[in-house]
Amino acid sequence: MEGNVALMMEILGPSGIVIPTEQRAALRRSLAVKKRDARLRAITLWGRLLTSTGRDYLLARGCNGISPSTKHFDTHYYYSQDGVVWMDLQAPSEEIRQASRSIRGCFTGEPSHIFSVELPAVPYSQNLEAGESERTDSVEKRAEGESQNQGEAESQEGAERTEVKAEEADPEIEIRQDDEEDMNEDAEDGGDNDKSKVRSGFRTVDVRELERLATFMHEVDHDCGVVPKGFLIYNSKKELVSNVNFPGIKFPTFLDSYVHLFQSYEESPLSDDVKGSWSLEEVPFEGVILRSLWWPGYVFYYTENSKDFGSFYLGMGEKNMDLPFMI
Amino acid sequence: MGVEDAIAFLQKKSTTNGDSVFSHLSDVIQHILQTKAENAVDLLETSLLLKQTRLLLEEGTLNLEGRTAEEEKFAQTFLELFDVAAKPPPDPDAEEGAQEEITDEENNAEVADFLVESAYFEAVGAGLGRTENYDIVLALKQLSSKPGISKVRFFGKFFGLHGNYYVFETNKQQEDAQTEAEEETKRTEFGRPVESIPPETNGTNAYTYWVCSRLGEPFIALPDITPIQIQTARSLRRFLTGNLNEEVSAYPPFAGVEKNYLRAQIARISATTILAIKGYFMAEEPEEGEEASGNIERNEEWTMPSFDELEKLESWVHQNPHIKKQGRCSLYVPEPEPEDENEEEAEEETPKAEEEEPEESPEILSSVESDADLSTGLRSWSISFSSSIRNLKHQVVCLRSLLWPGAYTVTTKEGFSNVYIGWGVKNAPFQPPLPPEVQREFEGALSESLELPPIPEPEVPEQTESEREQDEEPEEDEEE
Repeated sequence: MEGNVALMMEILGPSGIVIPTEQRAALRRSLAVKKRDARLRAITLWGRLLTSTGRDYLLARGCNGISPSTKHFDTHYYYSQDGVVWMDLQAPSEEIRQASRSIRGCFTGEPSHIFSVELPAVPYSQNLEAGESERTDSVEKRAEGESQNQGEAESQEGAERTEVKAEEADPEIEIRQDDEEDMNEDAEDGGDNDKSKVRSGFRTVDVRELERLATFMHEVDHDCGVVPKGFLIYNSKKELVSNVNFPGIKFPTFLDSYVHLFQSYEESPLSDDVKGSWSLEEVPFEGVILRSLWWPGYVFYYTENSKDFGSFYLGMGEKNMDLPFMI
Repeated sequence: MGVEDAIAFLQKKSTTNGDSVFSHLSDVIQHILQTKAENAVDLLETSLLLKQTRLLLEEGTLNLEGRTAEEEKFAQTFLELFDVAAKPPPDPDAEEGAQEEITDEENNAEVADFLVESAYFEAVGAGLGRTENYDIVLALKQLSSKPGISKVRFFGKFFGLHGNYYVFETNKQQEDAQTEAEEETKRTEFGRPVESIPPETNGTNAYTYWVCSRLGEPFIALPDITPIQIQTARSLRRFLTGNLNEEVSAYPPFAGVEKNYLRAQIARISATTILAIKGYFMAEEPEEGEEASGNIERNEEWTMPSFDELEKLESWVHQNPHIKKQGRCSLYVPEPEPEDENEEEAEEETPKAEEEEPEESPEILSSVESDADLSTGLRSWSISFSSSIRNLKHQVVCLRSLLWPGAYTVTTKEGFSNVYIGWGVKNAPFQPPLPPEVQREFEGALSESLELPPIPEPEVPEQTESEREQDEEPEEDEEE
């Protein structure tokens, strides 16, 4: 799971993926330090996000265990603006995610920047009482599940239940993080009452840049998150572990040989994606380079000789919504 | 079953892969002992994996075929690039000999020092990585040894769906090098918009661009750009495919193939994102009685400004002239039609020309500061530095275009350098153009009637005339 940064930079350089020399020098130590501090099994350099102020984000993903079969992804996201100090990104609530998907324009490079997004006032369920309309959707789900006695005591329990419900109802994969985030999410739900204002059928939701950043990383991991098929295998606990005897890919130029890790792993090959949403370049004597056209800037490589692979995102953090017109 | 029988049974070979239980189990035990895994019993998947990998490993070691055709080509370009390629069998072309003679001579072309520049690009996180940067240095040398090239620099790399383009910018080449290419495109001119405005010889066509899809391959000169190609390219949003002769299937129809489209994107990118430090160039002073030529020349008195100045947008200017809506840097005003022709036509044309004239384009070497903002309200340039430590000396300043993601300008020791590495797609909201209006049906001709078709008699011409009058077709004018 853990890539070799030096090798990755060597192979992805020709695809325009370069890290500033100073950050590159810092990364030698800082990622290992973060791995130890955060007690992670593995940490990978994930990407570099270009911002309008020039204070770019370096991004990393830590991983403690993945089992797509039970939709459990124990992944954590980190960001750094100098390559030295890595900060945690909290998992945003579903509402924040929905809101940040509709933000257009590049990131600012100010972690405290706030994007104001207008969303329809009642997002999912219309069968709510009028007084409830200001509440956020995860609270709404809770309200559906139980009778509406709102006390502080049940909030933690309720939130967990909401999580479970959301997983059952939502076909999309919920990337869960530890309990701390659940708490955080809950606290946010409380705070949203002040932030959101109902205004003629719309309400404004404030999304912090870091929340948008976390959403963006989730999205790219879900839509891309490429690994070669067979590199990871299920152990007896139904967890994915790396295959020490990975034999390599037989047909590296076919999209069937690569799968989306954060979808359902083996059942989600790249060949099932929208046709024409990947650009495949074959480099003789070396391997294969895949570029996502939905997320221009996401590049994946696989080398045939060393059976090594890796991926990196370098871009402005915006999905190419015009792709249907371009293929 | 005795022990010998049992062993014989275990050693019975599988008909599919020639393996036996006995040899497989001994392989497993051997593997475990060799690797000395601590939790050996948990790793009984080893058994499965050994089975899966045993044959594959053998397959990997055997290579009876040698290089494939694709690899052979790649290996040749690689040798070519490092200048150790075996001399090809003498070509029937006489030019070949002439070229070789020139390569032996001293190379006087002004070649950009990309090896040094690339270190500055890398410091700010741009470029193509150390190894490929060096390939470009070699490719620059290769291109500069071509006859007629006096100045060359690396323009950038364009990613395509199936292949990439490395683009090099040289001084303007003679037309005859490109006529061949133009003939090729003309063959497939059918259905494409027709040029009404003549292409420029300067401005958008001030340089010649050379392209190769792998470094070391022969360079192909891109044809000159025409105004209509720039106009159409502005309303398109597409990926390059990697094949220079691929049709540009898009709406509105593009006047040319992919190499023309690539050339149009290069023209647009270089007009917007090629920067220079203020004062490095100055506009050529027009001679008396002449209009300003729009050319720039190097300012000999220029000195490198301080770091504090370089981090401001005001101290950066556009090196290339702005391209007008017409698709030219200098406005082409069609000469008014001679009076004796149809007066109506002349009247129609003059207002058009007047409409175009008010377009104010920035002067030559205009400041980056005055660039229009993006649709999201942000500046179209972002400035970054090679270090986040503020008082570190010898920092590199980098200007990044948000309008053309992938366009970088950096400061170097004695000046600056520009490069573009990207998809050739502009970061602007895209609105697919609507299809043209539905054409009017030819009225009258298909009107239903119960009457029998007219008998061919002298009456017939009168009927058709009356029909035409009803329709009020423009043919009336002709008849008059």
